[in-house]
Amino acid sequence: MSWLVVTAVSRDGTQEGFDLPLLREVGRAAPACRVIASGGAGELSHLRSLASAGLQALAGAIAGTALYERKFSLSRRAGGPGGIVLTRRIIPCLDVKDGRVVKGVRFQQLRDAGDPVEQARAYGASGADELCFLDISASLEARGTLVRLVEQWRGS
Amino acid sequence: MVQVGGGIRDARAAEETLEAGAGRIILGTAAVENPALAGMAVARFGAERVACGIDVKDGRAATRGWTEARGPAPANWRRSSPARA
Repeated sequence: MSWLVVTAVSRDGTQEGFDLPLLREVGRAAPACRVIASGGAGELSHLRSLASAGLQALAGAIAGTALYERKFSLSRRAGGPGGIVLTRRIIPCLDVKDGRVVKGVRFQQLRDAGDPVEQARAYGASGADELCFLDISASLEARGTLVRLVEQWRGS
Repeated sequence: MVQVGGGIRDARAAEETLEAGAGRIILGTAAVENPALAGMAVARFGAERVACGIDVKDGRAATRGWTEARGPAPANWRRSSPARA
């Protein structure tokens, strides 16, 4: 059993919904893997569609910009009035570049979106039991950045 | 639990990140270009703590910060990836 984080690049930051055909294809190609879907989360209906798409391998969904912009909140994930029925996890993802959270579309047009540890703390306070830091600096100088970030997060 | 990815391209970086307290590391480019790294990390830390992050662009696994989409199509991941069950 292995984990895959599958990001539809064309959906990243667009908030247009998950790439369900891609996720179905992944499910067929790697049926024993657990898949975390990424790219396109924008509103509750996207999470509902994902949850009801019959994806056996689906183990979670990443949400970045939509959570940052408060399009939906983690506290509604378990259902209830106005909430959604999604038993699988919603994982807030913080894309980090040069030590700052950034938001963009397809990793372009990046804009500053705050301090990663502060945001992680806020998501934790609002009910996230999982979190994702993704360093998109993608440079060798960035090496060690993630380690420091994890240590700061643990100490926060 | 925090999972982290980006720039983890060798065994040392994988170890340091997991030992710092990451619940799971996400190997991106490294997993596509260097499947042995993912195999090592799974063998050493367990499958629960290692994920392969695959960015799909134009139907193929993209590497190198998405400037190249030259990796395998999803239908071929099982043959080419250490992430097979």
